[in-house]
Amino acid sequence: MASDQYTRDYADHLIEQVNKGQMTRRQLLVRASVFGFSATAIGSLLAACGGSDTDTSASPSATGMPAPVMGGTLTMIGPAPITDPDPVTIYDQGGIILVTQFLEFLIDLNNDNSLKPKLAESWTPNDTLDVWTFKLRQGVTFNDGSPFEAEDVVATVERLLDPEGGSGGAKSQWGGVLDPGGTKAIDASTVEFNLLKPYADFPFTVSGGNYNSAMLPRNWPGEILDNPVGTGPFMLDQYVPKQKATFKKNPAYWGKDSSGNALPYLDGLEYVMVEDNSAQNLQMQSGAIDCQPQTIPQGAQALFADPNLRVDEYPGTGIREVAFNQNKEPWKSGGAALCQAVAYCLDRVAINEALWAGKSIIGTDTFWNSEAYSGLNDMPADLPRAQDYDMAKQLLADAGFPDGLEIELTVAKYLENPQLAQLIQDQCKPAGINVTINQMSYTEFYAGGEDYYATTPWIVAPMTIVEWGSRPSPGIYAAAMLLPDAVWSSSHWNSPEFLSTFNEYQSTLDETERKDLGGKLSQLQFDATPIMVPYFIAQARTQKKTVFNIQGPGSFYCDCTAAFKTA
Amino acid sequence: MLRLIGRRLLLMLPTLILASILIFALAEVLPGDVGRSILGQYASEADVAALNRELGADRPLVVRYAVWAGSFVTGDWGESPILEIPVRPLVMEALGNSLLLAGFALVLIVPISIVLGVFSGLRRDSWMDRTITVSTLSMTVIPEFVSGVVLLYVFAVWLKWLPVSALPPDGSPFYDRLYYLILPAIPLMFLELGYIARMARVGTVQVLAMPYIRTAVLKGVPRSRVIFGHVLRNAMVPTVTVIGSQVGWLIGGLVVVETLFAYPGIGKLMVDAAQSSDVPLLEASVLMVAVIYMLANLIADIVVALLNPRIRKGG
Amino acid sequence: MNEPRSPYGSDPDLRAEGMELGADPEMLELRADAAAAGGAQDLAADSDLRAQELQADSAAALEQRRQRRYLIKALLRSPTFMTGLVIVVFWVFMALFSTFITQSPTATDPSVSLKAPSPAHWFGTDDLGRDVLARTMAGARTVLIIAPLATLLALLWGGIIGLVAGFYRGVTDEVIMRLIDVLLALPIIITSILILSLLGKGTAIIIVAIGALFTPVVSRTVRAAVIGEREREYVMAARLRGERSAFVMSREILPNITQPLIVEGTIRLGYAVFTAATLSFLGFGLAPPSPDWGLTISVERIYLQIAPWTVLFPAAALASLVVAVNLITDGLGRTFSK
Repeated sequence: MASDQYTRDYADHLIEQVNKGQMTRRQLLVRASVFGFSATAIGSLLAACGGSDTDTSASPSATGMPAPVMGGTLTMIGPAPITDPDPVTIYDQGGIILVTQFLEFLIDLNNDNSLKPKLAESWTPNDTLDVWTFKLRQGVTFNDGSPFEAEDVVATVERLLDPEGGSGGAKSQWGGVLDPGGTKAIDASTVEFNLLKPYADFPFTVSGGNYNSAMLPRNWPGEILDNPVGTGPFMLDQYVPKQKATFKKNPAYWGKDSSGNALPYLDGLEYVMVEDNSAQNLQMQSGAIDCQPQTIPQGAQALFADPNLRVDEYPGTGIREVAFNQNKEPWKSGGAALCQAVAYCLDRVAINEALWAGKSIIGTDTFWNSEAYSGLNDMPADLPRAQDYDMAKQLLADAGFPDGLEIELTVAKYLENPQLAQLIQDQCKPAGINVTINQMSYTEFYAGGEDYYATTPWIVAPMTIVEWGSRPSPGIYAAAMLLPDAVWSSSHWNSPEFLSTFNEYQSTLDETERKDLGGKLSQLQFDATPIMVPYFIAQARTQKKTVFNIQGPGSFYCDCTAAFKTA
Repeated sequence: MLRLIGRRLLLMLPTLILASILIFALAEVLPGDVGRSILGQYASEADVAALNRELGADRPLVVRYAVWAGSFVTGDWGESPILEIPVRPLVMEALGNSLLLAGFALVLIVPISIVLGVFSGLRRDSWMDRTITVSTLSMTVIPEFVSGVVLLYVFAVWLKWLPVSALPPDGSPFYDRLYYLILPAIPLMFLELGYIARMARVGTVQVLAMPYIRTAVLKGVPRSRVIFGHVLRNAMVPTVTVIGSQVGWLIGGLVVVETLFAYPGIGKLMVDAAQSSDVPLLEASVLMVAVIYMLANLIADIVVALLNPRIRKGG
Repeated sequence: MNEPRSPYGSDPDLRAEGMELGADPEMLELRADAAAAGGAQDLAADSDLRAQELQADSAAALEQRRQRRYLIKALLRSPTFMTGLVIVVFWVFMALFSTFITQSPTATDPSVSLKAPSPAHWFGTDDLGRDVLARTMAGARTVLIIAPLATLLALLWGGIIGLVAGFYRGVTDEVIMRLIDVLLALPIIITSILILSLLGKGTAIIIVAIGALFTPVVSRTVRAAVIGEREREYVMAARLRGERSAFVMSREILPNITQPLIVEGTIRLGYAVFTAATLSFLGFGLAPPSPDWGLTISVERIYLQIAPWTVLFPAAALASLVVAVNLITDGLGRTFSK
């Protein structure tokens, strides 16, 4: 529990930053919400700031919304879960959309990366940011009648951290931060997380931003399809593999709207599983489906033009990581110079044009991108990196490959990854770098043996493209991919300097310090270029004009708790 | 007749067994080993060996085959390691969907092709006749995904006369399902359209040359009825023969059409299983396809025998 | 019976009759061909004396050459054959030389992605800004490598098996034919999917797989032709002379079944093109950035609504090649059966 002094100091600090123009009000809102200030407290913080709010990122469906209508079934369309949708292990869009209809997180993640209390009512850190105490919401029950209490939170976390199995996704966010046994139930409605080190980003890791951390009952036996027990607004009714899933309203749901009416408004949901986006687009146009949670701009021109549909666009933080495995040749001997050489071959504007119709945010190989993370203030100045063949050739020579070289790029046939691979291949040619594309099926790309992380192509191959859904902060990405002990690191980058700077970064809430340290981290990543980040994907959600109030950031979520249909 | 059926069924059995051996061999033996094909290229030898031991893949081939075949026959088709659900309900549902699509195509094709054939026969050597003959015969050899994609574009995207997907929204009445199947069924029909139409055309030409036509017409029977009656009677056997001989390509076409239209049939299930190296699902779906294939051939032969008294009497 | 489709065939009446009787239409065609081809051999029969035989041989050879010239002339005059040939030659030319004539089929230019046909890009551009004309022309290469090689393999293996089965008959024949039946128990597309998904990618595997799967049908055809030939006098003469079986098969019978073999070859070629394209459409074997038609159609079809040219041009190209090969088959069939 943070001391009152600490909390006041922090509040003053945030207000000061806004007043000095170092931070926008919205950014204050985000940071304050992460810290655990209540909505009222945030309100008074904002009120205490002078000046006007120039930040106008209103939630897309907020303006001009009619009064909610009870009833109706909402149909959504998206890909089928790739494997059995076990919430502990899923990482694909289909699986996540499916289970998040009846499971909930401690904290909800908003589009602008601010946090909103969900199953946790409030939370607060201690002065050293290594113990976080969460107060749970009262009166919440699972749909099997059992109460939601601190024991369930502990059980969920321990299940995710289980050394024998557990969740790769959760471990990628909690690695080096939270160990088994670190989570304690203080009483029925209080949970204490004892971290291994100070971690300012911790609340993000128990929010929707950590998609495996949905809360399950303490005695959950596994087999989600047989035991779809959750606290969410809907309940799983029917599941036809590869075809559809239907949900019906949870009559005992704890949520209420601002007027005190019981949520959800809808009677039920239907998730129709269709693999490829073009088929989904066509279904949307035919009027058979109410909502497409992930609309890919390339190829969806017809949806934008359709008079019956509304496409909500918002900046996303999902990326395609192009990783250079530093443990394998040629990256091992070529080093940073070689990695940078490849990076300077990319025409990122052209890639953005081709794959995202120009709508994605151009990335320059670091996670600290102020446009993608406009809700966070600790963004250093962006580092530019445009296509420069002279630079590339120079770096190639520096790396010891003056006559060019052959490299192999392993990619899964999934999303737009094959196209990105072909663009990279074509753009590397003028520099004398010959890229061979090794394309495999999604299953093969993610297949692995007993010692999974030592054998699966996406971790082990010399150069790969790996897709990542959104992450709420650059720190979360860095922890998952760039730290020396990161479980999901495809680059196997080992930089002690980066690690120590990162730990410093996570141990302070001072915005100026964070900006400074963030700058250092960004520069380190930029100079070493263990991975390329060509873009932060453009997010869009398409729905009928008669559908309102679907929430949820990124492409993984389709939060229908307060959604309704007027027709 | 019954003796014929019985004998054929009996003959089917050894072929089926040999086919199952072939499928099993390809799936479990040729790739080197099961463990490797599940774990991928980077897995260590130790891992592969461990998985093989766990799957029982280190037992002698004959034993493994016997176990698999035995459980298959008793209805236990195993579980998909990828989807983690039992294989049998998945395969049976997909089979049902495919049979609907194929059946629909076959039902449509007979009247359409015969009408086309008679039409071109009546206007023999006219440009209409030549166009019909040439185009229907050309469509026979064009791959289904080519004709399918062109049809999709023309009828669903450009003219918007037909729906783009192969499945109607949930809860639609049955005839809606058929309406949505029209576009996917057309490429399947192209397989036989040419031959059956040509046969009908030949039959029409023959009939027109016969003197008894004039007699029948003079007696007051409308010409078209005479022609259709005669042509139909004579075309039945060759039609069924053609369809029977093309079943293999029809099944192949089913795979392509289902993939193109994202229709949840056995063809698409098989392709998905193949692409995700889902061995139990792949084995089960391929084996069921083999069974359907043999049954279809058998049924075609039986129908031919029934329609052709010469063969029927011959036993 | 997994009988292949033979689109234009020879004599429609023969065909119709054959179908009515439920017989094998291919078989009838072969009988007709054999009848036409067999005439030349009667000259070489009957004589026991070497000199007479040699004389008869040379007379037969002369006759054969005359026959061949006549056939070639007849083919050149057949509009079906010539149309097909011209189109196939066009695509062979494109497969070999298109990259020297057109823009690069792999050069990406995202600023012009999915643009409609224009003077700069006659067939428009695809999703990565690549020139569709260049890719359509270059796409011929993969099909024209895979299909002919697979066909040759099938002819080789099927030819040997058919010769052996047809010549020896008896138990050998029975066993071989049963095995063939098993291989034909599954439709070809299915077996090739099975093989390709489990044995990996690569052009070589596709060629071998398709070749292996067409072998049974080829062997059946060859076997039938051989059976038709083996009772002939020249064969019996050779056997009486004490010639070894292999010699009889290769030197005596084989040259006399070249016509049905050629026709069978072109029929198989048509199917091979069809099968190869279908397999690459389904995603087995080839990988980007190959401009292969089947692969391109399967990748670009998601843009059918907004950029149909990316799909329709490769589709038309593939259709033209398949139809052309079948026109050649039809022309050959018609000519050989006269």
